[in-house]
Amino acid sequence: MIMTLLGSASFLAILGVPLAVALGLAALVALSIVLPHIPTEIVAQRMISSVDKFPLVAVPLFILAGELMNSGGITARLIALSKALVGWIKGGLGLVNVATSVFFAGISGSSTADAAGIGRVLIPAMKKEGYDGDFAVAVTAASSTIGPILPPSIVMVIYAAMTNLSIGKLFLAGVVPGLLMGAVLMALVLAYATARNYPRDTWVGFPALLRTIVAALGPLGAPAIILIGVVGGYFGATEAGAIVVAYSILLGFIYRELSLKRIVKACQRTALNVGVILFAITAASIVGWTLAVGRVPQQLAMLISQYGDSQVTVLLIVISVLLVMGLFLDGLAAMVIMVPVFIPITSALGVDPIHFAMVVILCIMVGAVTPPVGILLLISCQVGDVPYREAMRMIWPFVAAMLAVVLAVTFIPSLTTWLPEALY
Amino acid sequence: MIKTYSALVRVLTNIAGILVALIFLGVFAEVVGRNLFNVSIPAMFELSVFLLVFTAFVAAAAAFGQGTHFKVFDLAGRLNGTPHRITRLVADLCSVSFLIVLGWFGIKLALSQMDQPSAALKIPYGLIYMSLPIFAVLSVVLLVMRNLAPVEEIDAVLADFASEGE
Repeated sequence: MIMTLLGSASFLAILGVPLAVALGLAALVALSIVLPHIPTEIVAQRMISSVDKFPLVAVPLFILAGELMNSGGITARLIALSKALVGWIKGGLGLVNVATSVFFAGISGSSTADAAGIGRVLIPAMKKEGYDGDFAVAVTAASSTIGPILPPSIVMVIYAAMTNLSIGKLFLAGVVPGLLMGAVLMALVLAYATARNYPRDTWVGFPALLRTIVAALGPLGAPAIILIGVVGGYFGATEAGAIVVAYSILLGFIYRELSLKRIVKACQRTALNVGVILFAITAASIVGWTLAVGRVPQQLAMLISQYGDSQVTVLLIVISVLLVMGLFLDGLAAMVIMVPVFIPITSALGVDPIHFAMVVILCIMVGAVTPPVGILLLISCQVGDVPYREAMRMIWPFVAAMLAVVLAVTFIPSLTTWLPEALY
Repeated sequence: MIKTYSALVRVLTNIAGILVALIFLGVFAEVVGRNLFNVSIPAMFELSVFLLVFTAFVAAAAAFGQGTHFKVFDLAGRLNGTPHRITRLVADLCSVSFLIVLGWFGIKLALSQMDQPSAALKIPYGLIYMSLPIFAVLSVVLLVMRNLAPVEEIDAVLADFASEGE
Protein backbone atom coordinates (compact mmCIF):
# COMPACT_ATOMS: atom_id res chain seq x y z
CA MET A 1 0.00 0.00 0.00
CA ILE A 2 2.82 2.40 0.87
CA MET A 3 4.50 1.75 -2.46
CA THR A 4 1.22 2.51 -4.26
CA LEU A 5 0.79 5.69 -2.24
CA LEU A 6 4.36 6.91 -2.73
CA GLY A 7 4.58 5.77 -6.34
CA SER A 8 1.36 7.36 -7.51
CA ALA A 9 1.93 10.56 -5.49
CA SER A 10 5.44 10.92 -6.96
CA PHE A 11 4.23 10.25 -10.51
CA LEU A 12 1.41 12.78 -10.20
CA ALA A 13 3.66 15.39 -8.58
CA ILE A 14 6.26 15.07 -11.34
CA LEU A 15 3.52 15.32 -13.93
CA GLY A 16 2.77 18.77 -12.57
CA VAL A 17 -0.44 18.01 -10.67
CA PRO A 18 -0.89 20.30 -7.60
CA LEU A 19 0.61 18.68 -4.51
CA ALA A 20 -2.71 18.50 -2.66
CA VAL A 21 -4.35 16.69 -5.58
CA ALA A 22 -1.36 14.36 -5.98
CA LEU A 23 -1.52 13.43 -2.30
CA GLY A 24 -5.31 13.08 -2.20
CA LEU A 25 -5.60 11.07 -5.39
CA ALA A 26 -2.71 8.78 -4.43
CA ALA A 27 -4.28 8.27 -1.01
CA LEU A 28 -7.63 7.33 -2.56
CA VAL A 29 -5.90 4.83 -4.87
CA ALA A 30 -4.01 3.31 -1.92
CA LEU A 31 -7.17 3.34 0.21
CA SER A 32 -9.05 1.41 -2.45
CA ILE A 33 -6.47 -1.39 -2.04
CA VAL A 34 -6.95 -1.62 1.73
CA LEU A 35 -10.69 -0.99 1.66
CA PRO A 36 -12.34 -2.13 -1.59
CA HIS A 37 -15.51 -0.24 -0.62
CA ILE A 38 -14.24 3.19 0.37
CA PRO A 39 -16.47 4.79 3.02
CA THR A 40 -17.04 7.92 0.95
CA GLU A 41 -18.77 9.97 3.62
CA ILE A 42 -15.99 9.32 6.12
CA VAL A 43 -13.37 10.52 3.65
CA ALA A 44 -15.32 13.75 3.03
CA GLN A 45 -15.94 14.25 6.73
CA ARG A 46 -12.23 13.70 7.51
CA MET A 47 -11.33 16.35 4.96
CA ILE A 48 -13.68 18.96 6.34
CA SER A 49 -13.00 18.16 9.98
CA SER A 50 -9.29 18.70 9.35
CA VAL A 51 -10.02 22.40 8.78
CA ASP A 52 -13.14 23.17 10.83
CA LYS A 53 -11.17 23.92 14.00
CA PHE A 54 -11.31 27.22 15.83
CA PRO A 55 -7.52 27.48 16.35
CA LEU A 56 -7.09 27.37 12.56
CA VAL A 57 -9.08 30.62 12.29
CA ALA A 58 -5.78 32.19 13.40
CA VAL A 59 -4.17 31.16 10.09
CA PRO A 60 -5.92 33.76 7.87
CA LEU A 61 -5.59 36.38 10.59
CA PHE A 62 -1.80 36.07 10.95
CA ILE A 63 -1.34 35.90 7.16
CA LEU A 64 -3.50 39.04 6.83
CA ALA A 65 -1.40 40.76 9.50
CA GLY A 66 1.75 40.02 7.47
CA GLU A 67 0.16 41.30 4.26
CA LEU A 68 -1.01 44.50 5.98
CA MET A 69 2.45 45.05 7.46
CA ASN A 70 3.93 44.93 3.98
CA SER A 71 1.24 47.24 2.56
CA GLY A 72 1.06 49.66 5.47
CA GLY A 73 4.67 50.80 5.79
CA ILE A 74 5.41 48.70 8.87
CA THR A 75 8.01 46.54 7.09
CA ALA A 76 9.76 49.70 5.83
CA ARG A 77 10.05 51.01 9.39
CA LEU A 78 11.42 47.70 10.66
CA ILE A 79 14.02 47.75 7.89
CA ALA A 80 14.97 51.34 8.83
CA LEU A 81 15.37 50.29 12.47
CA SER A 82 17.52 47.28 11.53
CA LYS A 83 19.66 49.49 9.29
CA ALA A 84 20.31 51.93 12.11
CA LEU A 85 21.10 49.09 14.52
CA VAL A 86 23.35 46.81 12.45
CA GLY A 87 23.77 48.43 9.03
CA TRP A 88 27.13 49.97 9.99
CA ILE A 89 28.71 46.52 10.53
CA LYS A 90 30.49 44.82 7.63
CA GLY A 91 27.89 43.15 5.40
CA GLY A 92 25.38 45.54 6.94
CA LEU A 93 22.47 44.93 4.58
CA GLY A 94 22.77 41.15 5.04
CA LEU A 95 22.57 41.64 8.80
CA VAL A 96 19.69 44.08 8.32
CA ASN A 97 17.89 41.36 6.37
CA VAL A 98 18.17 38.90 9.29
CA ALA A 99 17.40 41.51 11.97
CA THR A 100 14.29 42.70 10.10
CA SER A 101 13.08 39.10 9.89
CA VAL A 102 13.43 38.79 13.66
CA PHE A 103 11.36 41.95 14.22
CA PHE A 104 8.87 40.94 11.51
CA ALA A 105 8.53 37.48 13.08
CA GLY A 106 7.31 39.04 16.28
CA ILE A 107 4.27 40.44 14.50
CA SER A 108 3.51 38.11 11.61
CA GLY A 109 3.43 34.33 11.77
CA SER A 110 3.96 33.89 8.06
CA SER A 111 7.34 33.05 6.53
CA THR A 112 6.06 33.64 2.99
CA ALA A 113 4.90 37.18 3.88
CA ASP A 114 8.35 37.72 5.42
CA ALA A 115 10.24 36.45 2.35
CA ALA A 116 8.06 38.39 -0.08
CA GLY A 117 7.80 41.60 1.96
CA ILE A 118 11.40 41.94 3.09
CA GLY A 119 12.89 40.35 -0.03
CA ARG A 120 11.10 42.78 -2.33
CA VAL A 121 12.86 45.71 -0.63
CA LEU A 122 16.18 44.29 0.52
CA ILE A 123 17.27 41.95 -2.31
CA PRO A 124 17.32 44.73 -4.94
CA ALA A 125 18.99 47.05 -2.40
CA MET A 126 21.66 44.44 -1.62
CA LYS A 127 22.32 43.79 -5.31
CA LYS A 128 22.62 47.54 -5.91
CA GLU A 129 25.26 47.81 -3.19
CA GLY A 130 27.37 45.04 -4.72
CA TYR A 131 26.16 41.92 -2.90
CA ASP A 132 25.89 38.79 -5.06
CA GLY A 133 22.27 38.13 -6.07
CA ASP A 134 22.36 34.48 -4.98
CA PHE A 135 23.69 35.52 -1.55
CA ALA A 136 20.96 38.14 -1.12
CA VAL A 137 18.31 35.56 -2.01
CA ALA A 138 19.79 32.90 0.28
CA VAL A 139 19.94 35.30 3.26
CA THR A 140 16.34 36.38 2.65
CA ALA A 141 15.04 32.81 2.35
CA ALA A 142 16.97 31.50 5.36
CA SER A 143 16.07 34.43 7.62
CA SER A 144 12.38 34.27 6.69
CA THR A 145 12.25 30.86 8.39
CA ILE A 146 12.49 32.74 11.70
CA GLY A 147 8.90 33.95 11.12
CA PRO A 148 7.19 30.70 12.16
CA ILE A 149 9.76 29.93 14.89
CA LEU A 150 9.29 33.14 16.87
CA PRO A 151 5.74 33.80 18.12
CA PRO A 152 3.18 34.28 16.69
CA SER A 153 3.39 31.41 14.25
CA ILE A 154 0.93 29.93 11.79
CA VAL A 155 2.82 26.62 11.81
CA MET A 156 2.54 26.47 15.61
CA VAL A 157 -1.18 27.19 15.42
CA ILE A 158 -1.67 24.29 12.99
CA TYR A 159 0.57 22.00 15.06
CA ALA A 160 -1.33 22.85 18.24
CA ALA A 161 -4.66 22.25 16.49
CA MET A 162 -3.45 18.82 15.37
CA THR A 163 -2.06 17.73 18.73
CA ASN A 164 -4.14 19.64 21.29
CA LEU A 165 -1.02 21.29 22.69
CA SER A 166 -1.23 24.71 24.34
CA ILE A 167 -0.61 27.40 21.72
CA GLY A 168 0.64 29.76 24.43
CA LYS A 169 3.28 27.25 25.56
CA LEU A 170 4.33 26.60 21.96
CA PHE A 171 4.66 30.33 21.31
CA LEU A 172 6.95 30.68 24.32
CA ALA A 173 8.95 27.58 23.34
CA GLY A 174 9.86 29.24 20.05
CA VAL A 175 11.43 32.37 21.55
CA VAL A 176 14.93 31.00 22.32
CA PRO A 177 15.30 28.84 19.15
CA GLY A 178 14.09 31.79 17.03
CA LEU A 179 16.61 34.20 18.54
CA LEU A 180 19.31 31.50 18.30
CA MET A 181 18.50 31.02 14.61
CA GLY A 182 18.80 34.79 14.09
CA ALA A 183 22.18 34.89 15.85
CA VAL A 184 23.58 31.92 13.90
CA LEU A 185 22.44 33.35 10.55
CA MET A 186 23.95 36.74 11.44
CA ALA A 187 27.26 35.06 12.27
CA LEU A 188 27.24 33.33 8.89
CA VAL A 189 26.41 36.57 7.06
CA LEU A 190 29.25 38.29 8.90
CA ALA A 191 31.69 35.52 7.88
CA TYR A 192 30.65 35.80 4.21
CA ALA A 193 30.78 39.61 4.37
CA THR A 194 34.35 39.49 5.66
CA ALA A 195 35.45 36.89 3.09
CA ARG A 196 33.79 38.68 0.15
CA ASN A 197 34.43 42.21 1.38
CA TYR A 198 30.80 43.26 1.29
CA PRO A 199 30.14 46.95 2.07
CA ARG A 200 28.85 48.59 5.24
CA ASP A 201 26.70 51.66 5.88
CA THR A 202 27.96 54.61 7.86
CA TRP A 203 27.01 54.80 11.53
CA VAL A 204 23.94 57.03 11.80
CA GLY A 205 24.72 58.34 15.27
CA PHE A 206 22.71 58.05 18.47
CA PRO A 207 20.17 60.82 17.78
CA ALA A 208 19.21 59.23 14.42
CA LEU A 209 19.14 55.77 16.02
CA LEU A 210 16.81 57.08 18.69
CA ARG A 211 14.53 58.60 16.03
CA THR A 212 14.28 55.29 14.12
CA ILE A 213 13.56 53.42 17.36
CA VAL A 214 10.76 55.88 18.16
CA ALA A 215 9.42 55.53 14.59
CA ALA A 216 9.38 51.73 14.98
CA LEU A 217 7.83 51.71 18.45
CA GLY A 218 4.38 51.08 16.99
CA PRO A 219 5.33 47.90 15.11
CA LEU A 220 7.50 46.73 18.02
CA GLY A 221 4.50 46.97 20.34
CA ALA A 222 2.70 44.17 18.50
CA PRO A 223 4.81 41.25 19.83
CA ALA A 224 4.34 42.57 23.35
CA ILE A 225 0.56 42.73 22.87
CA ILE A 226 0.49 39.15 21.56
CA LEU A 227 2.70 37.61 24.24
CA ILE A 228 1.14 39.48 27.16
CA GLY A 229 -2.36 38.77 25.86
CA VAL A 230 -1.91 35.08 25.11
CA VAL A 231 0.39 34.15 28.01
CA GLY A 232 -1.57 36.35 30.41
CA GLY A 233 -4.78 34.57 29.40
CA TYR A 234 -6.56 37.74 28.23
CA PHE A 235 -7.23 36.24 24.79
CA GLY A 236 -6.39 33.17 22.74
CA ALA A 237 -4.02 32.90 19.75
CA THR A 238 -6.88 33.30 17.29
CA GLU A 239 -8.09 36.47 18.97
CA ALA A 240 -4.49 37.70 19.11
CA GLY A 241 -4.47 37.35 15.32
CA ALA A 242 -7.51 39.64 15.03
CA ILE A 243 -5.95 42.17 17.40
CA VAL A 244 -2.70 42.24 15.39
CA VAL A 245 -4.69 42.73 12.17
CA ALA A 246 -6.56 45.67 13.75
CA TYR A 247 -3.27 47.04 15.09
CA SER A 248 -1.62 46.74 11.64
CA ILE A 249 -4.56 48.59 10.03
CA LEU A 250 -4.36 51.30 12.69
CA LEU A 251 -0.60 51.75 12.18
CA GLY A 252 -1.04 51.72 8.39
CA PHE A 253 -3.54 54.59 8.62
CA ILE A 254 -1.41 56.50 11.14
CA TYR A 255 1.56 56.19 8.75
CA ARG A 256 -0.79 57.23 5.89
CA GLU A 257 0.39 54.29 3.78
CA LEU A 258 -2.69 52.08 3.92
CA SER A 259 -5.75 52.62 1.77
CA LEU A 260 -9.01 50.69 1.47
CA LYS A 261 -7.82 49.37 -1.89
CA ARG A 262 -4.67 47.96 -0.30
CA ILE A 263 -6.69 46.35 2.49
CA VAL A 264 -8.95 44.68 -0.10
CA LYS A 265 -5.87 43.43 -1.99
CA ALA A 266 -4.36 42.12 1.26
CA CYS A 267 -7.60 40.23 2.03
CA GLN A 268 -7.59 38.66 -1.45
CA ARG A 269 -3.95 37.59 -1.22
CA THR A 270 -4.61 36.20 2.25
CA ALA A 271 -7.60 34.23 1.00
CA LEU A 272 -5.58 32.65 -1.80
CA ASN A 273 -2.84 31.65 0.65
CA VAL A 274 -5.45 30.21 3.01
CA GLY A 275 -7.04 28.24 0.15
CA VAL A 276 -3.69 26.74 -0.84
CA ILE A 277 -2.62 25.90 2.72
CA LEU A 278 -5.92 24.49 3.96
CA PHE A 279 -6.57 22.49 0.79
CA ALA A 280 -3.14 20.88 1.30
CA ILE A 281 -4.15 20.10 4.89
CA THR A 282 -7.45 18.52 3.81
CA ALA A 283 -5.63 16.36 1.25
CA ALA A 284 -2.97 15.39 3.79
CA SER A 285 -5.75 14.37 6.17
CA ILE A 286 -6.79 11.67 3.67
CA VAL A 287 -3.18 10.51 3.50
CA GLY A 288 -3.02 10.40 7.28
CA TRP A 289 -6.23 8.41 7.51
CA THR A 290 -5.12 6.03 4.74
CA LEU A 291 -1.85 5.40 6.59
CA ALA A 292 -3.79 4.80 9.81
CA VAL A 293 -6.17 2.37 8.10
CA GLY A 294 -3.15 0.52 6.68
CA ARG A 295 -1.58 0.45 10.18
CA VAL A 296 1.50 2.19 8.81
CA PRO A 297 2.23 4.20 12.02
CA GLN A 298 2.43 0.96 14.00
CA GLN A 299 4.73 -0.62 11.40
CA LEU A 300 6.89 2.49 11.31
CA ALA A 301 7.02 2.56 15.11
CA MET A 302 8.24 -1.06 15.11
CA LEU A 303 10.82 -0.24 12.45
CA ILE A 304 12.12 2.78 14.34
CA SER A 305 12.25 0.87 17.62
CA GLN A 306 14.46 -1.73 15.92
CA TYR A 307 17.05 0.96 15.21
CA GLY A 308 16.90 2.84 18.44
CA ASP A 309 15.10 2.92 21.72
CA SER A 310 16.58 6.12 23.11
CA GLN A 311 15.01 9.56 22.81
CA VAL A 312 17.99 10.99 20.94
CA THR A 313 18.15 8.17 18.38
CA VAL A 314 14.45 8.41 17.65
CA LEU A 315 14.63 12.21 17.39
CA LEU A 316 17.54 11.89 14.96
CA ILE A 317 15.50 9.44 12.86
CA VAL A 318 12.54 11.86 12.95
CA ILE A 319 14.82 14.73 11.88
CA SER A 320 16.26 12.66 9.02
CA VAL A 321 12.80 11.66 7.78
CA LEU A 322 11.49 15.24 7.93
CA LEU A 323 14.58 16.65 6.22
CA VAL A 324 14.36 14.13 3.38
CA MET A 325 10.63 14.83 3.03
CA GLY A 326 11.39 18.56 3.12
CA LEU A 327 13.49 18.17 -0.01
CA PHE A 328 10.44 17.22 -2.03
CA LEU A 329 7.37 18.26 -0.05
CA ASP A 330 6.04 21.49 1.32
CA GLY A 331 7.03 21.51 5.00
CA LEU A 332 3.48 22.02 6.22
CA ALA A 333 2.30 19.00 4.23
CA ALA A 334 5.18 16.92 5.63
CA MET A 335 4.24 18.00 9.13
CA VAL A 336 0.56 17.22 8.69
CA ILE A 337 1.37 13.78 7.29
CA MET A 338 4.11 12.71 9.69
CA VAL A 339 3.28 14.23 13.08
CA PRO A 340 0.37 11.83 13.75
CA VAL A 341 2.76 8.99 12.91
CA PHE A 342 5.59 10.21 15.15
CA ILE A 343 3.65 11.39 18.20
CA PRO A 344 2.80 7.90 19.58
CA ILE A 345 6.45 6.82 19.22
CA THR A 346 7.98 9.86 20.91
CA SER A 347 5.31 9.92 23.62
CA ALA A 348 6.09 6.31 24.49
CA LEU A 349 9.74 7.27 24.92
CA GLY A 350 8.84 10.21 27.15
CA VAL A 351 9.91 13.01 24.80
CA ASP A 352 8.49 16.32 26.00
CA PRO A 353 5.71 17.20 23.52
CA ILE A 354 6.69 20.89 23.44
CA HIS A 355 10.33 19.97 22.79
CA PHE A 356 9.28 17.54 20.06
CA ALA A 357 7.02 20.16 18.48
CA MET A 358 9.89 22.62 18.23
CA VAL A 359 12.20 19.99 16.69
CA VAL A 360 9.53 19.25 14.07
CA ILE A 361 8.85 22.94 13.37
CA LEU A 362 12.57 23.70 12.99
CA CYS A 363 12.97 20.74 10.61
CA ILE A 364 10.11 21.80 8.39
CA MET A 365 11.50 25.32 8.26
CA VAL A 366 14.79 23.87 7.02
CA GLY A 367 12.71 21.97 4.47
CA ALA A 368 11.14 25.25 3.34
CA VAL A 369 14.48 26.43 1.95
CA THR A 370 16.04 23.17 0.73
CA PRO A 371 15.93 22.53 -3.03
CA PRO A 372 14.43 21.20 -5.16
CA VAL A 373 11.18 22.22 -3.42
CA GLY A 374 12.14 25.13 -1.19
CA ILE A 375 9.09 27.37 -1.19
CA LEU A 376 10.84 30.26 0.59
CA LEU A 377 13.83 30.04 -1.73
CA LEU A 378 11.44 30.09 -4.71
CA ILE A 379 9.62 33.17 -3.42
CA SER A 380 12.91 34.96 -2.68
CA CYS A 381 14.21 34.17 -6.18
CA GLN A 382 10.95 35.43 -7.66
CA VAL A 383 10.92 38.76 -5.81
CA GLY A 384 14.68 39.21 -6.18
CA ASP A 385 14.78 38.30 -9.88
CA VAL A 386 17.57 35.76 -9.34
CA PRO A 387 17.61 32.39 -11.21
CA TYR A 388 16.62 29.51 -8.92
CA ARG A 389 19.57 27.44 -10.12
CA GLU A 390 22.05 30.02 -8.79
CA ALA A 391 20.33 30.35 -5.43
CA MET A 392 20.17 26.55 -5.07
CA ARG A 393 23.96 26.44 -4.72
CA MET A 394 24.23 29.35 -2.27
CA ILE A 395 21.57 28.12 0.12
CA TRP A 396 23.53 25.08 1.40
CA PRO A 397 25.82 26.93 3.87
CA PHE A 398 22.66 28.49 5.33
CA VAL A 399 21.00 25.08 5.52
CA ALA A 400 24.07 23.80 7.41
CA ALA A 401 23.79 26.70 9.88
CA MET A 402 20.08 26.02 10.37
CA LEU A 403 20.81 22.33 10.94
CA ALA A 404 23.24 23.31 13.69
CA VAL A 405 20.33 25.07 15.42
CA VAL A 406 18.10 22.01 14.91
CA LEU A 407 20.72 19.79 16.53
CA ALA A 408 21.28 22.24 19.39
CA VAL A 409 17.56 22.27 20.14
CA THR A 410 17.41 18.47 19.85
CA PHE A 411 20.26 17.83 22.27
CA ILE A 412 19.43 20.65 24.69
CA PRO A 413 15.66 20.38 25.35
CA SER A 414 15.79 23.19 27.90
CA LEU A 415 16.31 25.66 25.04
CA THR A 416 12.65 25.14 24.26
CA THR A 417 11.15 24.07 27.57
CA TRP A 418 12.52 26.49 30.17
CA LEU A 419 10.55 29.55 29.10
CA PRO A 420 7.13 27.83 28.98
CA GLU A 421 7.94 26.13 32.30
CA ALA A 422 9.02 29.42 33.84
CA LEU A 423 5.95 31.39 32.73
CA TYR A 424 3.17 28.77 32.87
CA MET B 1 -14.37 32.00 -22.93
CA ILE B 2 -11.22 33.64 -21.61
CA LYS B 3 -13.17 36.66 -20.33
CA THR B 4 -15.64 34.42 -18.52
CA TYR B 5 -12.78 32.41 -17.03
CA SER B 6 -11.01 35.54 -15.83
CA ALA B 7 -14.24 37.01 -14.45
CA LEU B 8 -15.13 33.81 -12.59
CA VAL B 9 -11.69 33.62 -10.99
CA ARG B 10 -11.92 37.27 -9.94
CA VAL B 11 -15.40 36.77 -8.47
CA LEU B 12 -14.19 33.77 -6.46
CA THR B 13 -11.10 35.66 -5.28
CA ASN B 14 -13.28 38.60 -4.22
CA ILE B 15 -15.74 36.35 -2.36
CA ALA B 16 -12.86 34.62 -0.56
CA GLY B 17 -11.36 38.02 0.32
CA ILE B 18 -14.70 39.18 1.73
CA LEU B 19 -14.94 35.99 3.80
CA VAL B 20 -11.48 36.68 5.26
CA ALA B 21 -12.58 40.21 6.14
CA LEU B 22 -15.72 38.82 7.81
CA ILE B 23 -13.64 36.37 9.84
CA PHE B 24 -11.47 39.25 11.06
CA LEU B 25 -14.45 41.48 11.86
CA GLY B 26 -16.25 38.69 13.70
CA VAL B 27 -13.32 37.61 15.86
CA PHE B 28 -12.28 41.21 16.53
CA ALA B 29 -15.82 42.20 17.53
CA GLU B 30 -15.94 39.21 19.88
CA VAL B 31 -12.63 40.00 21.60
CA VAL B 32 -13.42 43.73 21.91
CA GLY B 33 -16.96 43.03 23.10
CA ARG B 34 -15.86 40.52 25.70
CA ASN B 35 -12.86 42.41 27.07
CA LEU B 36 -14.14 45.99 26.93
CA PHE B 37 -17.92 45.72 27.26
CA ASN B 38 -18.31 42.33 28.89
CA VAL B 39 -20.60 41.31 26.02
CA SER B 40 -20.02 38.11 24.08
CA ILE B 41 -21.41 37.61 20.59
CA PRO B 42 -23.42 34.38 20.60
CA ALA B 43 -22.07 31.61 18.38
CA MET B 44 -19.13 33.72 17.17
CA PHE B 45 -16.69 30.80 17.51
CA GLU B 46 -18.94 28.54 15.46
CA LEU B 47 -19.61 31.21 12.84
CA SER B 48 -15.90 31.97 12.37
CA VAL B 49 -15.13 28.29 11.89
CA PHE B 50 -17.90 27.93 9.30
CA LEU B 51 -16.61 31.04 7.52
CA LEU B 52 -13.12 29.52 7.55
CA VAL B 53 -14.38 26.31 5.92
CA PHE B 54 -16.08 28.27 3.14
CA THR B 55 -13.07 30.56 2.75
CA ALA B 56 -10.79 27.55 2.41
CA PHE B 57 -12.82 25.92 -0.33
CA VAL B 58 -13.82 29.06 -2.28
CA ALA B 59 -10.21 30.26 -2.16
CA ALA B 60 -8.92 26.81 -3.14
CA ALA B 61 -11.15 26.97 -6.24
CA ALA B 62 -9.83 30.49 -6.99
CA ALA B 63 -6.29 29.15 -6.53
CA PHE B 64 -7.03 26.50 -9.18
CA GLY B 65 -8.08 29.33 -11.48
CA GLN B 66 -4.98 31.38 -10.71
CA GLY B 67 -2.70 28.35 -10.85
CA THR B 68 -1.24 29.05 -7.41
CA HIS B 69 -1.56 25.65 -5.71
CA PHE B 70 1.74 24.16 -4.45
CA LYS B 71 3.45 22.15 -7.18
CA VAL B 72 6.50 19.97 -6.70
CA PHE B 73 7.42 20.14 -10.35
CA ASP B 74 5.89 21.87 -13.36
CA LEU B 75 6.55 19.51 -16.25
CA ALA B 76 4.14 21.35 -18.54
CA GLY B 77 5.89 24.63 -17.83
CA ARG B 78 9.16 23.17 -19.09
CA LEU B 79 7.70 22.09 -22.41
CA ASN B 80 6.54 24.05 -25.43
CA GLY B 81 3.87 23.64 -28.09
CA THR B 82 1.86 20.42 -28.30
CA PRO B 83 3.78 18.54 -25.54
CA HIS B 84 3.07 21.51 -23.21
CA ARG B 85 -0.64 21.37 -23.97
CA ILE B 86 -0.88 17.55 -23.71
CA THR B 87 1.04 17.42 -20.42
CA ARG B 88 -1.13 20.12 -18.92
CA LEU B 89 -4.25 18.38 -20.18
CA VAL B 90 -3.20 15.09 -18.55
CA ALA B 91 -2.30 16.84 -15.28
CA ASP B 92 -5.61 18.71 -15.29
CA LEU B 93 -7.51 15.48 -16.08
CA CYS B 94 -5.98 13.94 -12.94
CA SER B 95 -7.12 16.99 -10.95
CA VAL B 96 -10.60 16.84 -12.49
CA SER B 97 -11.01 13.15 -11.67
CA PHE B 98 -9.97 13.78 -8.04
CA LEU B 99 -12.33 16.74 -7.80
CA ILE B 100 -15.24 14.75 -9.24
CA VAL B 101 -14.67 12.05 -6.61
CA LEU B 102 -14.49 14.72 -3.90
CA GLY B 103 -17.64 16.36 -5.19
CA TRP B 104 -19.48 13.05 -5.13
CA PHE B 105 -18.24 12.21 -1.62
CA GLY B 106 -19.14 15.73 -0.49
CA ILE B 107 -22.69 15.63 -1.86
CA LYS B 108 -23.35 12.30 -0.16
CA LEU B 109 -22.03 13.66 3.13
CA ALA B 110 -23.93 16.95 2.84
CA LEU B 111 -27.24 15.24 2.07
CA SER B 112 -26.79 12.82 4.96
CA GLN B 113 -26.23 15.71 7.41
CA MET B 114 -29.05 18.06 6.40
CA ASP B 115 -31.04 17.16 9.52
CA GLN B 116 -28.08 17.67 11.89
CA PRO B 117 -28.18 21.25 13.28
CA SER B 118 -25.03 22.90 14.57
CA ALA B 119 -24.78 23.44 18.33
CA ALA B 120 -25.07 27.24 18.49
CA LEU B 121 -26.37 28.60 15.20
CA LYS B 122 -28.69 25.64 14.49
CA ILE B 123 -27.53 25.66 10.85
CA PRO B 124 -27.78 22.19 9.26
CA TYR B 125 -24.27 20.74 9.01
CA GLY B 126 -25.22 19.63 5.52
CA LEU B 127 -25.09 23.27 4.39
CA ILE B 128 -21.55 23.66 5.71
CA TYR B 129 -20.51 20.38 4.09
CA MET B 130 -21.90 21.64 0.77
CA SER B 131 -18.76 23.80 0.58
CA LEU B 132 -16.84 20.70 -0.55
CA PRO B 133 -18.99 19.84 -3.62
CA ILE B 134 -19.36 23.53 -4.48
CA PHE B 135 -15.56 23.83 -4.47
CA ALA B 136 -15.24 20.68 -6.57
CA VAL B 137 -17.74 21.86 -9.21
CA LEU B 138 -16.21 25.35 -9.46
CA SER B 139 -12.69 23.94 -9.76
CA VAL B 140 -13.75 21.44 -12.43
CA VAL B 141 -15.47 24.21 -14.41
CA LEU B 142 -12.33 26.35 -14.25
CA LEU B 143 -10.03 23.49 -15.25
CA VAL B 144 -12.26 22.54 -18.19
CA MET B 145 -12.46 26.16 -19.36
CA ARG B 146 -8.70 26.47 -19.05
CA ASN B 147 -8.16 23.52 -21.34
CA LEU B 148 -10.72 24.66 -23.90
CA ALA B 149 -9.22 28.14 -24.24
CA PRO B 150 -6.16 28.90 -26.42
CA VAL B 151 -2.92 28.19 -24.53
CA GLU B 152 -1.41 31.64 -25.21
CA GLU B 153 -4.47 33.45 -23.86
CA ILE B 154 -4.63 31.31 -20.72
CA ASP B 155 -0.90 31.77 -20.11
CA ALA B 156 -1.37 35.55 -20.45
CA VAL B 157 -4.28 35.53 -17.97
CA LEU B 158 -2.29 33.43 -15.46
CA ALA B 159 0.67 35.83 -15.84
CA ASP B 160 -1.73 38.74 -15.15
CA PHE B 161 -2.97 37.07 -11.97
CA ALA B 162 0.62 36.39 -10.87
CA SER B 163 1.66 40.01 -11.38
CA GLU B 164 -1.44 41.27 -9.55
CA GLY B 165 -0.57 39.02 -6.62
CA GLU B 166 2.92 40.50 -6.19
